[in-house]
Amino acid sequence: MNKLTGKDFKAMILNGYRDIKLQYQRINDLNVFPVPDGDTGTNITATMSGGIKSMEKADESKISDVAEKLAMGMLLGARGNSGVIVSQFFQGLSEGLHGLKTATIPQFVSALNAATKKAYEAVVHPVEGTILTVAREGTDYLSGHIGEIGDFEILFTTLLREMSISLDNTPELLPVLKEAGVIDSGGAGLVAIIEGMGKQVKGEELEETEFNGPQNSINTDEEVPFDEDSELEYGYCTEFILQLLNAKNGPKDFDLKRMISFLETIGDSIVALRQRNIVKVHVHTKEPWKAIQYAQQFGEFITFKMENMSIQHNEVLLKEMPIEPKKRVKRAIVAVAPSREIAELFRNLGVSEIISGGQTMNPSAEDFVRAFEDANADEILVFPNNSNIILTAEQAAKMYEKSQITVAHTKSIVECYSALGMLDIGDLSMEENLAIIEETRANLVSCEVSTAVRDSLNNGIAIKEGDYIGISRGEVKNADKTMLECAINLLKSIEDIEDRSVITVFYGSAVTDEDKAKLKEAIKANWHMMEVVEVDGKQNVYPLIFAVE
Amino acid sequence: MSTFEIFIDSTGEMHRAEREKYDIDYCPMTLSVGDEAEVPASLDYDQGYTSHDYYEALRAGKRIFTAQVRDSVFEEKFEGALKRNNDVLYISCSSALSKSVDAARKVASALMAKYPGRKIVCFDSLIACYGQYDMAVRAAKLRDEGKSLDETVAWLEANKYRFNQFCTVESLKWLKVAGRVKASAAFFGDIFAVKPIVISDRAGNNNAFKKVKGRKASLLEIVRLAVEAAEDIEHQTVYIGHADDEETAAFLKEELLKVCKPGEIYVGPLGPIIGSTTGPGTVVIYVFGKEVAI
Repeated sequence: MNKLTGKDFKAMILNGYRDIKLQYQRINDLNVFPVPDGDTGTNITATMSGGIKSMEKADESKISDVAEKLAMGMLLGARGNSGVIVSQFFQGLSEGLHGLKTATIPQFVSALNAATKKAYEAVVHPVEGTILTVAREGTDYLSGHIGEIGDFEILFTTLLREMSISLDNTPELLPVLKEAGVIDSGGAGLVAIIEGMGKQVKGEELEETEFNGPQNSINTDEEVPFDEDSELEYGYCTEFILQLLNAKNGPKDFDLKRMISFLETIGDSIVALRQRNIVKVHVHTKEPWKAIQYAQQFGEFITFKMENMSIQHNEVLLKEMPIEPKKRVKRAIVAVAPSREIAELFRNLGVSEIISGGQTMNPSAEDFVRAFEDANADEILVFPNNSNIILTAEQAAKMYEKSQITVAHTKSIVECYSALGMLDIGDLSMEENLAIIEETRANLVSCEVSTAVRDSLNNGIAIKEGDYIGISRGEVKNADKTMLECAINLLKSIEDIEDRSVITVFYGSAVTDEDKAKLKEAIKANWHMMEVVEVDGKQNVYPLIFAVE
Repeated sequence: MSTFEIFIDSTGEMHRAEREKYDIDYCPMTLSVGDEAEVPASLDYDQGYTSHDYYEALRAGKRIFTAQVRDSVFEEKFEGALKRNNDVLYISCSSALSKSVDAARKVASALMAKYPGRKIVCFDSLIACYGQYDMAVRAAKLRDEGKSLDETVAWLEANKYRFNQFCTVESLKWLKVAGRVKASAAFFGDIFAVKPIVISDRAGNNNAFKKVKGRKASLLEIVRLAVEAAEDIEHQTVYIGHADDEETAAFLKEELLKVCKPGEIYVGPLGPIIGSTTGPGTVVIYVFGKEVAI
């Protein structure tokens, strides 16, 4: 095959998607820290899935149209830094294929080079030993050896071979990979896609597997947040849309206020509205059947969703039912929060739109766009709160034209929390507020305690599986047998801790009251004048997150 | 030769020995604790409550109600001076915090009509507590140097913005309850560990002009600001006021001495009139120096 049609290309992309679906868990595990928060595989797969959906509408007779639709969906679906880079790679490819019905080998190689260029442009400070290197070394090789490439099968075999060599070499370029004994996860994701595409050219269609999407990826980890020993702590987020039926006398008999009073006896966080003969309901309850039974007296369900709130969940239906359009405001804050508790905290501090997400669940560019839409403000200040989300937020900001959007480069919820308390969004300009954020960030040391899931050597520190590890500013500082020891040693590693006044501690979901009391006592014993502010963050993965100011 | 008598009021914090030393009198405001009877707000803690007791009452959830100086008090005090053939200089609590100065001015014009040729000046200090105190002491010293009432008032007028207050509170709760802070709600958020730095601005308002993370940082910040604002600190008394928090006042003194050598450091309590709105744990430094800019 020496000419690629839109139909061929689409089939190849679908096979690439099948391949990454088969491999995404393995890619998630390629994590520098021995902490179960790797999500590169999930992110790239979710990004691809956005493109796949959008590609369905493409005109198969034109490769340019297929590539364009694919890229558009991927840009919106992009999650995590690797997802953003992959989406930009395919955006570059689409620009390279622009206007073509079919692509010849030189045309496709040239488009691949455009893809690499675009991927590099997505990152302000490109780092070698990452997905970028893998893309560049693979596509550069093709350009240099174009004479040897007789058909697309050879093209993809060569590209895969060169990218794989480059991938295996990433630890030589990036010391953190070498120390942790892993290869770059983003690069591995790109290689998986290219591998699948190449297999399609050879006629090898891969097995179709289920990808549950990022919101469900957590279920496949070893750390299932709800198992046979769990207790129902929060109940179920229950949402439904009810069609009132004449057969049940619904339109006449149904009384919204009475239903709300009933729902209040079985749960909270109630939102219920009636628009003519459609009723939309949201309730958090441990006895969802009661809500269902009540509602069904008056009609039948159009849609229905119920999720255990101990497991991360999305309040989907609520988002789809804009209640009253919010008034346009001058300035608003949009922030990413990993738990309900932190979302609530942020809301109290003036955040108007929360995007659910964090380290183990990176939101997509589309999630941001939706939040911008909901914020409905002239100027929007965005807190991504994770280094792997900043690029996505910026991609969304570029795509959104109805507001002036400023992305603060906050890398943790702690940085966001600290800044929110000092901001004055009402009275100060965006620039002045941004300066305050930078000032609080500069003065803040954020650090966290987690547990190691495997033996590892990191930053020269030997870590045993089950150890508590202290991480500060992306570096492992210490590893200890108990959480308390680990926390205090981690805090002691902060050079100027004696000059600091406040430690805010975010407690993870598994921290007991006894742990909390002991920790406070130990902090007071070590630093007499230190104020300790406690936040019940109920975050996963990191039992303790500190903000030291 | 007729001279003038100096009065302050109950926010001036000057206890008996100091008042006798500088020959300064005061016109008491009134206060009541919870549902107890209203009493004149003495500067000498001689009404059954020590400074600590007042704050204990606040901590126990009692409210302290305060009222401006009564007209009858001004009439009695001012007329007494006039009868002694003296003019009057009343240095009042900031008009942004208490309406006493307005009442005094009304009383003064009536009395001046009654005693032609006599003069009563009601001077708005635009500050309170030890700022007001310092102003009265400086006026008394000018009087001792032989300066006339007009000359003294001219000096006060020219220098009133040079009395600086740098205050921080332990908790925002009290200021909010009392509605005594000029700042938007959004300025504070509702967050722990964020401490406002409150100055007395050019309008005499308690102005929370910036916020700082953490108690210790806020204390170091008021020390820094005070030293920065002070002029000729080696020859002046720096005042540290505290609302039932001697430990923190001592910390401030220690920190001040680390960075400068004030002529003297006076540490004293914040009385119940101001203290009931700022709450226990409030600490404040007063210095004389650069003009307040805000």
